[in-house]
Amino acid sequence: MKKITVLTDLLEANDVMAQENRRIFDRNRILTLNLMSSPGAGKTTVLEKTVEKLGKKYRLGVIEGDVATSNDAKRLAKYKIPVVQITTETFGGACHLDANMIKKALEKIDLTKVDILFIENIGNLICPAEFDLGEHKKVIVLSLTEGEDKPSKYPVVFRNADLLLVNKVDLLPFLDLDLSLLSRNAKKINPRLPSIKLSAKTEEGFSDWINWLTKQYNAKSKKRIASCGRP
Amino acid sequence: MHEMAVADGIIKIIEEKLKEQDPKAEVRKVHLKIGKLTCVEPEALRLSFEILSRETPLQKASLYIKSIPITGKCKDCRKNLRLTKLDFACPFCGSFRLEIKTGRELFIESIEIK
Repeated sequence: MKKITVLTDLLEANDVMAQENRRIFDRNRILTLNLMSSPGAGKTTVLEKTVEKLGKKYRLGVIEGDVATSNDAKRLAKYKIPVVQITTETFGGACHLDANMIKKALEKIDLTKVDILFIENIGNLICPAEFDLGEHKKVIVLSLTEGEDKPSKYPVVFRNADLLLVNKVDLLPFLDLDLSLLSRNAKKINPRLPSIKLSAKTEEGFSDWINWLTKQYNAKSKKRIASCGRP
Repeated sequence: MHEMAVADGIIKIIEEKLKEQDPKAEVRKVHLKIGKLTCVEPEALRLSFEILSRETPLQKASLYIKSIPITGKCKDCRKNLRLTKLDFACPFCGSFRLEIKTGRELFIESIEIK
């Protein structure tokens, strides 16, 4: 038997490719967000409403990740924005997106015509956590019906997040849920995690999310001017 | 299903390595280091690997998995620490401001071929 050293880390290999994706986004002046949640938390509905509210101000694009079907991509395609569907059936049914899948999806989008790109990750709070896709910010969508303890149960994904969207707040009167306990649990895992409470259905709190997005986009543009504005 | 994707990644990287080094070789052992933060179950990984390696030069290979604990340093009390639970709390002072050093590995260390 002969021993061959390999010394390759799968996550590092992913990180390298994610860095490449990030450079592509930066070169094309795109703000990219990775949306993660459990199945049914409302990512696609949040995106639909976001396109309705922001679609005239910014040129938006979406990469949709699912294990099977292109139902979500169809829902978004009616807004006449670029939507690329990744179905991981062809990648062995993987439960998360990785940087390589994103890189391939980017070939199908005219990046010169996008300002903000949303990546809708596969509904899952475990596996997507450690896979950097090259995004600038990670957003978790958590719906009220999932309970207060999700940050404690899925700490890895919450620890790495930049924003928590608490969705379906219109259901609060019907649930025995302690919103402040949910916030405390999230803060324990990630003390600096900002959160926005909203309902994609009634649009309550939705303007806070739109403001957050606008702020992120502006911050990114300013950084760009600061770094390349010198004569 | 997380493990399926990981097993697939491992097989692809090793197949590339074989192409460079010894295209006719059969792999018998794969030495891995898997961090606790990656949420990879060794048994599920073995099963995925067994299924996905069929009809590849890795089909007779066994996985030797070394589990890597989550270690790091507390940014408040400055102590080096090891997490036994995924609660991300410093076992000494309870702070949640931790700098994680190990536990993220999905590392292929070496292979043994015949």
